[in-house]
Amino acid sequence: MFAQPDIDRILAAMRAHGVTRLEIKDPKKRLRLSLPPATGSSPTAPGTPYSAAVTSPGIGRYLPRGGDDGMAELEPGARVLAGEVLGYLCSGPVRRVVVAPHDGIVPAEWPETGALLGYGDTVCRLETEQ
Amino acid sequence: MAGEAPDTLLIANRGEIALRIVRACRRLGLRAVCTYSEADRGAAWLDAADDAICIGPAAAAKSYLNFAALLAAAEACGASMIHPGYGFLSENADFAEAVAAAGLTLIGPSAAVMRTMGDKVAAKRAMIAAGVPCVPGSEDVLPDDRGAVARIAADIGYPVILKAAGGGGGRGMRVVRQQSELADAFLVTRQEAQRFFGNPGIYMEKFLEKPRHVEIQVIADAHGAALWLGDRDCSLQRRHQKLIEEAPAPGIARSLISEIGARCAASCREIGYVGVGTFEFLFQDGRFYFIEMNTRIQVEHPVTEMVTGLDIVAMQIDVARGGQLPLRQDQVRTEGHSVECRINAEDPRTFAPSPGLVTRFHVPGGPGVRVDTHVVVGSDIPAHYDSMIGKVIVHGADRAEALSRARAALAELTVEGVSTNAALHRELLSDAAFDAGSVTVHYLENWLAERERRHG
Repeated sequence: MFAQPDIDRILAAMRAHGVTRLEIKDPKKRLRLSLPPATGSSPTAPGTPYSAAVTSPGIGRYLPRGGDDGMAELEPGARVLAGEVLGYLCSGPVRRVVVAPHDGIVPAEWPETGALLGYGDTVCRLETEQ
Repeated sequence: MAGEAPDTLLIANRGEIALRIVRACRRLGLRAVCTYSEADRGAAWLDAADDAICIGPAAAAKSYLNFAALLAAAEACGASMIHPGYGFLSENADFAEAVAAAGLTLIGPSAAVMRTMGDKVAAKRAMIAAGVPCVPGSEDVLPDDRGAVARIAADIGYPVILKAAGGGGGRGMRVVRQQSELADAFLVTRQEAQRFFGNPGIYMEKFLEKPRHVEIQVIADAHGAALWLGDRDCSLQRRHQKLIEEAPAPGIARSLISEIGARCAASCREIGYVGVGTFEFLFQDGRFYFIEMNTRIQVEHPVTEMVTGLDIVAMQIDVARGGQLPLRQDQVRTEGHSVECRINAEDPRTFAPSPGLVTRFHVPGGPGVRVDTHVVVGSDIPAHYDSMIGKVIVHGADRAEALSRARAALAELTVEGVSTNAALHRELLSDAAFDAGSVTVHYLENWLAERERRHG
């Protein structure tokens, strides 16, 4: 079973390289992904910005980066790299990191601090320029 | 002056029972939070809840059966109670234990009681001790000794049935009609018991050839009170899955039902049971034989609600949080007759599930008609879960009126986009033997086989 963040990362890579069909198989699992063919006006065309959802990896209350973690707050318009910490999901004493699935530009819209997020809920949409 | 925030109840289930629990919460002034999987994201019933939270991917093992996700959801939304509905984790003693360890209240009995009643042999022993009649059979799991097993079978008398001690749902059972079949059947049933239920223990009972399935609804509080709320006949089954249920069971002397009901309530008091439950019996030749106790709300609870006028789910929540039962046994009254038809999204001939998008949905109405469903036009019926999409429940002054209303309601029901078993219900409700009452648990299987022979 592939987690949604993994699928998002694969889709982003497919878009980045103009791949429209991809199948991954091993003895236990199979994943088939397809994207519409890129056209001149397609949002996935090279050079055209598109945004992809960053989804919640679990259940918890949202905490932005830059509070008590020693990291800089994320400013809208700033660039983040794939794997960079975007924020946290808090459940009791446990914090789960929400990371950028791909390189992108920090959006202006984020959940409120303390907002309840469920599995797969959209945390933000990260804009990427191909 | 601002009122105190209502207690929050997390619903660890989906579909029509989730909606039914939301309605009970409304009545009790509780905040209801539904959990859902990604397959159910955007489903219409979630709008009825005060809040909803996605707990995982579509696969039930990662969502509705996921202890950690459910407890995290309860913590995140400030729930103090968890209602497991039916199916999924509703009879999972480990989950009951985990809920209690998290400091939450499970709407159900304790883990210890669930364990006793989940083990068929232990449950039978408890029922014999409480004076509830059981099918003649071995008092413990069978020994791994062919000679001893053959002697037990001879004492009981053929035919006998071998059953998995940890079993249920019709799996891990085998009928043995003569001694020559016993050794093979014993080995295979033990292997199945281990494979299906992780417990190789099996036991033996007299096999009843023409029984009906009759059950008693009970509810007990933590203050020593226990009531029986009437009986139901659920004999119309296919592969141990009930299709049509009714209350009361037709053609059985009320004095006999009262006697068995009182014994069920008494056994609840004896084992310290708290919550709703159902004692399931086989009924043959005027005698009841206990088969198992379900320690949860059941799909067919509405027929009992229709004849008693009680809100059993609200009462279940109340007793779980320490409330006292609001009535005495002599105040429990049943009136009229009720019938429930389970509507499944499935092929009416092959019974293969029929997932998909519901493009048209019209539910019947009128006097004495209730439809419990989570489906609306545009609902996507996922392939991941049980195929039941609703229940058509009717009430009449007597059985004839209830059946007449059921026929009219089924004629009015319209579902398009997915196949359903509505046509099968229409046929069964017009069947002379069912109309006469008192069909056995084998009737539907034989009826379907005969229909297959006729139509090829």
